Amino acid sequence: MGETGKEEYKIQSFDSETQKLLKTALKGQQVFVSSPAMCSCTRPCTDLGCFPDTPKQSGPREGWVLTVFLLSADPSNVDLEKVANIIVDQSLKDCVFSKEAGRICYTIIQAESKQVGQSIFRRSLLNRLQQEYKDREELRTRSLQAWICYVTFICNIFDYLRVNNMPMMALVNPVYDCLFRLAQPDSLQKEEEVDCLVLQLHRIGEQLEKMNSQRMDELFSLLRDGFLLQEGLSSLSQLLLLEIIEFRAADWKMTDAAQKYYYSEVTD
Amino acid sequence: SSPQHPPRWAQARKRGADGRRRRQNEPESSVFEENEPRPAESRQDSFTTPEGPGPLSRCSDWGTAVEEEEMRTNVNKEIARYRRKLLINEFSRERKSSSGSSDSKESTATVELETDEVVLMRRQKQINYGKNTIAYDRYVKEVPRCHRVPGVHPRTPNKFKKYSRRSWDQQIKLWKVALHSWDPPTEGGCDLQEICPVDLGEMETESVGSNSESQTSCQDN
Repeated sequence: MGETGKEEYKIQSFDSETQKLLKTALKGQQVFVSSPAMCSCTRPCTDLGCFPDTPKQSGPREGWVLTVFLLSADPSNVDLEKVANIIVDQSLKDCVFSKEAGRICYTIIQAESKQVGQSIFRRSLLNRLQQEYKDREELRTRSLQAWICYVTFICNIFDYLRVNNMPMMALVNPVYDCLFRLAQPDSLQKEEEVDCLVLQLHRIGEQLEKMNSQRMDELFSLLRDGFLLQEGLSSLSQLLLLEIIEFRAADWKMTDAAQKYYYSEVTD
Repeated sequence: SSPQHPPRWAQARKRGADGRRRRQNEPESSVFEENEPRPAESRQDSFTTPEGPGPLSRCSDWGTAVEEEEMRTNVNKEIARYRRKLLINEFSRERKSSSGSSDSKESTATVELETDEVVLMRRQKQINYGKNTIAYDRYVKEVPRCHRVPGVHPRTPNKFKKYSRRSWDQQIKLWKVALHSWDPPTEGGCDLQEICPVDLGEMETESVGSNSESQTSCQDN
C-alpha cells in the first residue's frame, strides 16, 4: 500500500484501561470529559474542536468541558495529529489550560505508546510547538496574552514530558530563548510578562539550570540588570524580580525569611 | 523610545540571540530582530566536534530530535543490560563443572561489543523498520519467544555484536525476508512490507574478525 502524501492516522479503540487512565488524569483538573451530546452547544455536536468558551454554571460541571475525542461513542477513529493541534490551539487561548496541558499530553503519549508503540501525537505536538516558536515574535506582537500562554505551555511540556526520565534536550534552548525574551526591557515593563517569567522559573528553573547553567547565569544577569536599571518597572514587577533572584540564590528553595517577607500576611 | 545613554545591560550583552557578536552601542532591539536577510540555507547539514562521537546531523525538527534522543538513551540502557547479561552468563558457567557444556552461548573469551553510538543508532533504526510491520506483530503473537526454533524462526540480529557493515546489512535483509512469511494474506500477493532501511551515512568501522553467525542468547527485545 503506497503512502501517497499523508495518511490520516487512526488508532484502534482505546481499551477500557486506557480510558480509565485518561479519565483519572483529567479528573484532577476539574475537567469533565463528556460525550458530544453534552457539550454546551445547543445542537448535537460532533465537532472535535468544540471548546465552549464560558464554563457552564449549572449542575456539577465546573471549569470547561473537553470534548470527546478521547471517550466518544466511537473512539476508534482518533486523529492524533488533529488532537495535538487542538490542544495547542486551546493552550494559546486559555492560560489555565496551558498550565495543565502538559499532564494531558503526557497521558496521551503514554496511552499511544502503550497501545500501538508509536509516537505520532508527541511528534505532532512537538512540531507544532516548534512552528509557534519560530513565529513567536509575531505571536507576541499579535497577542500578548497568547504569547504568555505559549511560554506557559512550552514550559509545562518541558516539565512533564520526559525521555527515559530525562527532560527533553531539544526543548532546553527554545525554553531559554523564550525566557530571555521575557527578560527584555520591553517585556519587563509589562507586569503579565514578568509574572509569567518568574512563575516559569519557579517551576522549571532548577531543572533548566541543570541542563545548561551558563544560560541561566546569563538570564539572571539580565534580571539583575533589569531589576536595578529598568525604567518603568512597576513595584509589583520589582518585587517579583527580587523574589526570584533570591530564590535562585537560595538554590531554588524557599527560605523561611523569604517566605515570611514575600508570602506572609502583613499585620498592620 | 531610546534613552540617551543605552542601559548598561544593553552594552553588556556581547552577543545577540543568534550568537553573533553585537557591535558597540548596537540597539537592544536588534538582538532578536533579524534585520539582515539571511543567506538562504548556507548552513551545513552536519557538523563534527573534536570530542564528539562523530558527525552529528543538524536537527531538522523537534519531533525527530526527541525521537533520536529517545533512541539514544534506549540504546544506552540496552547495552548496559546486555553487558550485565553477559556477565551473569559468565558467572553461571563458571559455577558449573567445567566439562565442556555443549550449550555454551557465548565464548568465554572477552567478547568485544559494538559501542559506537552512531553505528548502534543506525542498526537500531534498521531493526525498528523491521519490527514496525504487521508481519512482525503477527509473528510475535504467533510464536512466543520461548517457542522459537533456531534456524526456523527469524531472530532479530544482535546489534551489540561486532559485524562488518556488509555482514550486518545482509543479516537485516535476511531477517526481514524471513519475516515476510508472516505477512497478512492479500488478494494480489503484493509485497506490503517493502521498507528500505534509511542510509544514515557512510560512517562505518569495518570490524576485523568475527563474521560468525553464531546464534546468541535472546535479546530482550
